[in-house]
Amino acid sequence: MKSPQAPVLPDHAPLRTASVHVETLGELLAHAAACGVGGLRFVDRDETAELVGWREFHERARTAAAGLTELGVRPGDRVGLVFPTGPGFFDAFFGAVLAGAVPVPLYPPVRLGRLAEYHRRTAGMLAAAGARLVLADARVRRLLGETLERTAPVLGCRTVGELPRGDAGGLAPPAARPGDLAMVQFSSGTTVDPKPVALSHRAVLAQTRVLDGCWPALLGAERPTGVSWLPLYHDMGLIGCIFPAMDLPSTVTLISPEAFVARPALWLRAISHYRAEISPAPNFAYGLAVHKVRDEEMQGVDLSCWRVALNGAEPVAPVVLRAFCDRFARWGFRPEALTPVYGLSEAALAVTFSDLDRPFTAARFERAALSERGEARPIGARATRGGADGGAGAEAGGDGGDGAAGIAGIDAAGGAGATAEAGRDGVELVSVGRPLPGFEVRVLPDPGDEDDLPPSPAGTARLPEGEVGRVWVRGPSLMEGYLGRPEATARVLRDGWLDTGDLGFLHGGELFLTGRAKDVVILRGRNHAPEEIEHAVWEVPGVRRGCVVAASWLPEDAESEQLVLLVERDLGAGDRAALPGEIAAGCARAVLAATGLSPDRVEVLEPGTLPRTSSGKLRRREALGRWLAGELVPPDPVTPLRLAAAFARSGLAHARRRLRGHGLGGGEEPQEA
Amino acid sequence: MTEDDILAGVEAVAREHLEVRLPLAPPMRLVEDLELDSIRLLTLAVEVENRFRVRLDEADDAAIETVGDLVGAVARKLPSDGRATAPSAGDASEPATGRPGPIE
Repeated sequence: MKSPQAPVLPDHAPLRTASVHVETLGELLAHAAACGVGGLRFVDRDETAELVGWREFHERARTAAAGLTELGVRPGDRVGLVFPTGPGFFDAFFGAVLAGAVPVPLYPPVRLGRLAEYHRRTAGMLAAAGARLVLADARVRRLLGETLERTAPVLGCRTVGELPRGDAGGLAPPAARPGDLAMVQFSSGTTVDPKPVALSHRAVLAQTRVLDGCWPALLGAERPTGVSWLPLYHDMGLIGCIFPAMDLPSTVTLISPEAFVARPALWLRAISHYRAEISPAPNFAYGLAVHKVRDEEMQGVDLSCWRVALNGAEPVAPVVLRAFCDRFARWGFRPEALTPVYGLSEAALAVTFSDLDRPFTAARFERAALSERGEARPIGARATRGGADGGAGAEAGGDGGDGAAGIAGIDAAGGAGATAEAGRDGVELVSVGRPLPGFEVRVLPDPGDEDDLPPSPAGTARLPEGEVGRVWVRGPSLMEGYLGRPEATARVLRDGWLDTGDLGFLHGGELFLTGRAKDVVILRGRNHAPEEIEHAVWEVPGVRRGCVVAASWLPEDAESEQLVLLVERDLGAGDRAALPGEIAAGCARAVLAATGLSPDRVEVLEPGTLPRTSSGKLRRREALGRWLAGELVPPDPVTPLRLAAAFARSGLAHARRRLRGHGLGGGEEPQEA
Repeated sequence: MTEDDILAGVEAVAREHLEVRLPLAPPMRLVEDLELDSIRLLTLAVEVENRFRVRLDEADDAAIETVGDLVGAVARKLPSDGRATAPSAGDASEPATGRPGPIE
């Protein structure tokens, strides 16, 4: 049902930047409504469009908010949202905001997907967020039964239409303060360890203003418009696209992620038709467009309006950027539009942007120096410490950090089949640019072991340019913390800085990422907890329970991140041991069924191969690094004879440590040689 | 349209959009046997809908685990007057030329 359009002011109406009186999301919506310009345009797979203006959203939100208050939602209550892309999401989101509640966007079920896994995951997230109510789209709600049984939110689950009739003009809940929580977003949805990122109004608006500050100088246009197919439960989709459009205000055209994935041409056609200047997407989307869009679908399409093609949310592959430019130049795509960016949901969204009106920067660095010593030596430039770029050579205190394990993605994946020529040519990395206004980025030594707390920027000198280390950021849009997780929060928010868990170096003032210290698996722009993938295979016949590592990395010349599973096999009893091929196939199917992800590689290893800490914990990063370097081989076989000798020589404690180092927990029998 | 026609149509979608080249049989499970990940399941759902001009809703989705389930779900959604046209050889929904549908 199409809604009446809000009246539109003429183009020359003065731009109303967000005033100092807009300090909360509710005030942002009121501001957009008052300006009377812009809104959201929803385009479906048949390219039929429905425009809803900000003013109408504001009215609908006030009605919803009154209903929520009548239902018993109190300021500060978390409200889970399960909606596909559509006006309903925003009625629920802004309704919660105006009621003083804290919206928590969640994923709707995937098409033809496994509902059992969906229920477990969603229930976990609702519980972690402490949601008192779930608002859902009518069609989705029918499927949420099991989720709701598990979490039993106090106020149940409703559609917006089912909310009681409240008094929209009556007593409003007390206005939110800038320091109050505005919303919660999940950095990854898992059954094992969901991390709800809690963002204040102040943080969300700071991010919104920083983003909108980028456009005027570049575009000249006062109200640039955008197109996005990104899911609304993803930071780049919501904070990246919607709030900035409310701030200007202007219009964003939204396509559902399902429609995009099935037909990527919809994205490019919408940009062309609506003459949008801005559109963001994760790296894989650019690759999908290159491969799946047909020439016939591009008839009449003109991409010359597209001035800012942001590329973020996952590592950027230079081969994809070039392929995209080559393919779509014919239809007016400007290469300088490509803008790799970097951010994370713990910082609300963006931290660094590359130059908006220049083609992306990629540089080559000496392979051995990078992988063995964590030194970024540009090919062709004189590689002295401090270098021609200056950098912080005078402050070069501190250990360079163990860059080797951290840049596993650079190394042998390309090196394994690399020719001498490739070795000379080095490794190509894409810059993600410079810190946005108000943000700072520092590279610090990385301990190389996830069990050790990395040194924070307070009291530890930063590394000079050209040295790989751990990336720390500071800025106005950092999260308040992980909701209900003070220890996890204390590990990453320290002394006013955020430990991103990413590894990289600065070069010419620009940030280059080389890998991740944190264990998160990033595929198609989404974060996944490795435990979730690993647990899926523990019961596969032939797999040694608890001896599985899931990791992702971007191989050189690959278009997107690859998922690898490293699995120790259980030798079992005699001839009942499963064959490695069977184990690998079983693991791939189990992961697919549990997570919808398809591993690119499953490597079956001998028992005791995966590296562990002294306390027996699996070291994922080291496992990935060693595997890429071709170094994962089983340790010396432990025979009863050797074991006895070890006990005799060095005492019980030493022998126990050695047993654990081979992946043999307490009480397990040693393996035969 | 018979269920065999629908199965042939689903096979065509799988071939054209998912590069699944083996003949499909009703007992085949979408995840375990065809090894479709979440993106490919989505693509299958959307392209089958486009081809047969039906919409499967979330309740239908939840009950579909095999090729046979999918064929049955499509069959239930098709008009029952027996006059439904067979799917075209190519994509059921041809993209419009550069200008999308009615816009304000």
